[in-house]
Amino acid sequence: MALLAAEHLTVRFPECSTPVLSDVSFSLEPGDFAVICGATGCGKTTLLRMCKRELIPRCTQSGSVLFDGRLLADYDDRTAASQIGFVMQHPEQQIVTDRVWHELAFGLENLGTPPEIMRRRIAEIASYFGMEEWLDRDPASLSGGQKQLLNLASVMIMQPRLLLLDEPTAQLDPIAAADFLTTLQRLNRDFSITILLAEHRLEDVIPVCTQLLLMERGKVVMQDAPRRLLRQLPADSPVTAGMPAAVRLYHALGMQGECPLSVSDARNDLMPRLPVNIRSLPEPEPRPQTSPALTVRDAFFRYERSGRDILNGLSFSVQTGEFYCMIGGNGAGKSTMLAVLSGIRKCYAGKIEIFGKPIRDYKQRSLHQQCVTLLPQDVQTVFLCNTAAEELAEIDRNYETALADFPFDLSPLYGQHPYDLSGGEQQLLALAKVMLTRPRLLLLDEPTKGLDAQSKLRLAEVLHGLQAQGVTVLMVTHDIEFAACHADRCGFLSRGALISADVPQRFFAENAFYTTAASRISRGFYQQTVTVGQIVRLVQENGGLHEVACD
Amino acid sequence: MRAFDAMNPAAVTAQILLTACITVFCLEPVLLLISLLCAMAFFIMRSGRKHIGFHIAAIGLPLLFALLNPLWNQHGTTVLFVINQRAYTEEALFYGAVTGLRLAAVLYWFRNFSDLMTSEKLFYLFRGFSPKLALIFCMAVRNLTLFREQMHRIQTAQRGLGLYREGHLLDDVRGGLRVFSILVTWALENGIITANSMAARGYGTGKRSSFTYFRFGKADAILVGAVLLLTALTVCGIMSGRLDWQYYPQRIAPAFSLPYAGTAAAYALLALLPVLCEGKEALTWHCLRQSI
Repeated sequence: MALLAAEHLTVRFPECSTPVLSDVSFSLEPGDFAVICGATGCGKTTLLRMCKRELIPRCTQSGSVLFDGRLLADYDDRTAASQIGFVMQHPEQQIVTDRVWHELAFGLENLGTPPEIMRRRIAEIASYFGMEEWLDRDPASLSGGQKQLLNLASVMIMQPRLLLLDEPTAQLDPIAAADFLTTLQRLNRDFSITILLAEHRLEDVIPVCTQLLLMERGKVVMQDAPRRLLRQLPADSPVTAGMPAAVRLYHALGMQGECPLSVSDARNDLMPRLPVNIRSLPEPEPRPQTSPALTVRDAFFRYERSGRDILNGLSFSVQTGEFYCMIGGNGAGKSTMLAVLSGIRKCYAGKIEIFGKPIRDYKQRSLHQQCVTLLPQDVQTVFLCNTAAEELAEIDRNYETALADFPFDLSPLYGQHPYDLSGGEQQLLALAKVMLTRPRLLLLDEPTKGLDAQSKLRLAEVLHGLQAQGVTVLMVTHDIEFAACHADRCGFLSRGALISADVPQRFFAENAFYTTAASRISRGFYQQTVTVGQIVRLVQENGGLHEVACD
Repeated sequence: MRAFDAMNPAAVTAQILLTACITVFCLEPVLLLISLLCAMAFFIMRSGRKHIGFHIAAIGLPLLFALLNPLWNQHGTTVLFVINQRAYTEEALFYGAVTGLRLAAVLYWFRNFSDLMTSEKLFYLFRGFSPKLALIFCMAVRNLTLFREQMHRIQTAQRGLGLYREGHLLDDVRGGLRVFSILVTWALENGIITANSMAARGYGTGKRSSFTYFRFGKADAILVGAVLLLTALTVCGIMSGRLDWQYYPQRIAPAFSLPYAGTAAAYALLALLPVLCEGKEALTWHCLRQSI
């Protein structure tokens, strides 16, 4: 019997003409690892919340949600709370108390569990999640990934049978996200816990899930095992852009047969079927040389006199009009670099020139007005007003004319509170606000964090548009797929120094581990193909795909 | 017996608060001196040579007290010298020194208390009165920290945007106000997420139980018993009036008597309990290590 089932579920928010969910039906068997995918605003969050009684939003509802064969409303409070676990997107805000052990105990305390049992459960869960070392710590001192693991553990301690997760890795860096997903997979495998996960980051999760739910405009349009579902996926579906590289390649080439899900699937089944007469694309045209917008020479920076060097002899330059992506792992010094380049921090040795003038010669205001602007990682910190329009008017009263050539039309958002916008819209609004200060050099800190594939594409379009207007863009990111597709040049920052820099095509082809999925798929078959688009182009150069017969 | 720090917070609190209370309410130089020395000894035992600044403040302030008291206190008969046509009397100096001693002792006890009582221990104690209030208290403390961090982040972001003019006071004030107003919105938004997270984990589904790593063991019982007994003895001694000093107009010390000595001994033992616990622990450790 199905553990979780929705039957003809229709949900309407008050004062909203179109329903958020319309006639949704699906079911999950015990032990399923199901992933919901769909564009932002398609109703994923609402669907998840409708399955968790305590979080059902204010709405009118028809149809029903059954948990283990009974209506959700029929369960008593404590069973409902403990049997269905829910993890949300923001790691920090879900934490209630100021000690890790207390956070773990919180759920059990609510259920009135006796202290002796709590003691044992906390010890058990801490050892399973490897968090014994941090039991006595304040959660504020943990990293984002550790916080999210703590949130998962403090739900798991109540021994739920169903786990609902709403984009739990959106705010994490790729390593922490992979760790989190591995833990989920382990929970599913070791305890047969049923998981329903809404996620944008599909590369790692699609190969391990057992069910895929495809949502579009408030409807579950398909539900099936991933291999079967992805094979039938319409090529123009908005979710295709967010699929793993293997799936995108399969669809872009219009192939038949089994759909590959992972890099190894694609290498084993898909690549051998591609023509290999021409093995590499022509070298990319070098950008015309322009004057440097930014030159950094032997920059050293540390936060404390006796601390370690965060920037450790950093040298690089960005040319005017270029789109430069700086990638690197956690603690490589990426954000510190931006703080130094934007004048918030000062390096103790080395030379930084911005448009040919040493950074020290700019007075604070002249550096930021019409020259360098930093868009921080948490874009919410940019907003101070009650509506998007006020936000823009704050910098320039004639913002509508000033933004006439901004490559995205923000006017539909003007009346809304900045906090009510989606992550992608917030990012674009913040970018527009920043652009009103007319910077010539734009510094971006992880702008793709938490965005779905569609929003990323839109962001890339906007950035290219700004670039065409002569703006130089320097972006630090963990998102190597984004860098490979859209940057003019990529640099690799490690331990505070630049290790290598090149155009993405050569840069990612030469990296063996720190590289894109497309590059890992095509390695050995093709040379220097680092994006799905490049592989497809090379296949076309080869005269297209000639498949004799379907196997 | 465990080290004093590891005892149940209730026992620790009982010892420090009762000792400090007696210090506050009695003006008896011998007891005050005992109190100060014991508090200091315990503080130094725990922190070693650190916090020189605190020592200077805690000793210097009372000294100042003693020296200044005669300036506005005109009681007393033994004039040492005349300043500004006002008498500077020996009695007032002594009285100032005694109150200063009291101040120093209390300062040391409270410093010890704040060092020992982490937020966790306070939470444990507070919970005894009201578990709900204790949780709210603990969440409030946490949110204040988050609030401060976010404020710093917003200010940095706004500086990066070049919205503040350097050294422009009006801008700073206006900017500060706006940052505060958006922070309120931010806090409300976050509050909703936290509330959801609490509800999702069954908050408000009935009577809560409460978990703690602190236990009340035999050692704690012995400590509390000793504290109560010694406090009772000391208070009785003080109430008997055999320890009353006369400060004005002439300083008269009470005659030495057995109750006097007994009370002082009881109080000394009470104030020494932390040092004894730590000392015994250190000694045990030393012996155990010798046998490795």
